Amino acid sequence: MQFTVMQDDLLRCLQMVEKAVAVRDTAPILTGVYLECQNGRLTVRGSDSELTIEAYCSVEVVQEGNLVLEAKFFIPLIRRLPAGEVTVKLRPEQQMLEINAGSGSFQLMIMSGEEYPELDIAGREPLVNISSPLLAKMIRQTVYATEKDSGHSAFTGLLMEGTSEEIRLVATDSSRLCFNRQQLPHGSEFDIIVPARTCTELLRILPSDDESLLEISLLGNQVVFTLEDAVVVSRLLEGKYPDYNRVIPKSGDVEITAPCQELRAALGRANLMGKRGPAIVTFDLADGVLNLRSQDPDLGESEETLVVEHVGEEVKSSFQARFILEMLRTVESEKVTIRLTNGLNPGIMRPADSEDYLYVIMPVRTV
Amino acid sequence: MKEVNDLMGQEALLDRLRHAIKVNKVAHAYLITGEAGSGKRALARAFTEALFCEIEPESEKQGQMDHLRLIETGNHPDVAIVEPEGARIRIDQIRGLQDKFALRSYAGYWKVGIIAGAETMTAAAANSLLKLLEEPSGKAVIMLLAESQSQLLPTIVSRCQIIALKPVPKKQIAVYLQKEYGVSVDAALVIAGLADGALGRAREIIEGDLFQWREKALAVIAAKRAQGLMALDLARSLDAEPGAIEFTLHVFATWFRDLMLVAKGCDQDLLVHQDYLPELLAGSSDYNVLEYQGAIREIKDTLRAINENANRRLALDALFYQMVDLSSFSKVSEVK
Repeated sequence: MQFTVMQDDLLRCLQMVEKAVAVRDTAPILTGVYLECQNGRLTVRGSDSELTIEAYCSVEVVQEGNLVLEAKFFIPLIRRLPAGEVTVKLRPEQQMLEINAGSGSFQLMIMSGEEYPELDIAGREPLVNISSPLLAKMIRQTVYATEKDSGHSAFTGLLMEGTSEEIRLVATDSSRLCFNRQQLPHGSEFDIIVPARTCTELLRILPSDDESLLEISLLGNQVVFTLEDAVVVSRLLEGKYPDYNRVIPKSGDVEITAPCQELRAALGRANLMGKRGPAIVTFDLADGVLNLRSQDPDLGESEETLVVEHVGEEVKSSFQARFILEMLRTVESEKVTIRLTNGLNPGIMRPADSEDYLYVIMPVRTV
Repeated sequence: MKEVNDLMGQEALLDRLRHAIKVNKVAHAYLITGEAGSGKRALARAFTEALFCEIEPESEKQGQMDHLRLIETGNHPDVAIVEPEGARIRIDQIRGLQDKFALRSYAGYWKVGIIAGAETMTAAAANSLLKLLEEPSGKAVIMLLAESQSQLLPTIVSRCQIIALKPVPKKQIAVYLQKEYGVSVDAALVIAGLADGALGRAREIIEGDLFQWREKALAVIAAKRAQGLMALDLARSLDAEPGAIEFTLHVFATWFRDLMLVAKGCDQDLLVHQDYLPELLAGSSDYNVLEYQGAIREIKDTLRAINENANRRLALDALFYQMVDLSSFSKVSEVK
């Protein structure tokens, strides 16, 4: 194997696949990065058998071939190389890879490329095509609500559901639920549960330019995201996702619309009142004035008021401040609409100008 | 080929498991028990291979995967193996297994988890395994490997189907050793006897070049003079080669066992050290059975002490010194 590649191209590929490389695994080969050059193209792949990421760049191939390099040394080395051409050449008699860049020359031990799990996505079954920035936005607006620790249930993943007209993403940790949908004609019917980690990694590598399309497809028990210059393949989670429609309240006592920035800033201050546990903020609403109160017996109290648009009766309800903040951080509109109901009924939040992003949050019982 | 041999004498168990696959009655969890070297891993692996091989032909969609090669190299994405890290299996390792089992299978068939040395699970690890054992999601099998079921929590055992490996007959092991390693008939029988029906242990004796230690050990017993010095010399050389301690102590233990059998006039076929029959006959009248029993007990205690980090040299010196004067054992055992 021998090729010449630009340092920034190679580094970009490695940074894409880096997070998929196994840190410590029963299969030692997976702690390596797989390289393959063929037809003027370099394929870089990392996998821990749950998540596989493959990235491509064009190179000048002198001799085709494949091999695996220890990721822990190879990636930091390429990162530290000067910009410009990097020449990579296999010395078969020594089982060493020679890397030349600038005035430096490096020899790395290699592992056999034949041992590395193959990735053949030719037989995949396409589900839907979606623009990369749109999917990125949908993931950003849901993935934070997945269950983080404990539990190995379907809640640790993101539900992706498709119909012929739209695609929906749902996440919940049983204290709150995120629902996000987008019109998307020509899709197919599917529902899959994608591990949260896969979604976070996808978010990291999705391109931000508005043109690019990405394809979501199925390959047996795996989901495949095909980008222009990369492929992400992930195992799916077992289990059946509960019927989220039953959780989303259809009505509420009161609806308020508040400026997003100001509410966020106020809640950020209220959120400080949590030394013993999560800060709880009480929404107290009367005559178009929203009163936010939180207190901690070891710290003190905070209280502030916000003028809001208000429809309905007076209402009082308490929530975990962090949960509301997490949602507000992902809202792109200037205003947010909150529907509240007295007692221990869930609140529901959404951007003021859209019904496509809903956030259901359970209130906290306060004395 | 090697696998088949490793499973020698256990074919019936594998057939039973294969049958379970065929009639679609594979259990969620199996507990495979047997002495060290009795073939627990070999059986677990053969069963795993069978699970992936008995896939019905109509689902050949992903047939390009070379399951057998992946299982052999330990690289199969649907087969997770958990082994003790240090002395124990910790709760994080079991959580890692649960995370793996929460995913759908890679190849679309079985998910297999093998927990080797299951008796070393901490109580927390064992308890966190219970739920997974009871209702793993999807098509999944968990195999626990342990020396005996008594070392596991009853709540674990009751959730598993138990597969107990039986000792392989001595003659069968001996024949195998002759064929595979070209060992002489006599030596093969002795090694088979020392292996206690565990083929893996017999192979270890030959491959680890341990058999020479038997001569050294028995030379001490057979010596007419300067026995004490020879014993101390043996302790010194064992201290330099700790890998041979367990085997050498086992040689002594079986020697005293043989003496008891000879003293009671048992069938010679049962003896481990048949080639030393004259010495056994001569020695059997020296002391009484109680003293031999005491010796065996002391050997076991010493081995346990060494495994628990006692000073090797001191423990061996003390044991061998006592062995030279056997009557001290009966005193010890009386006091106890």
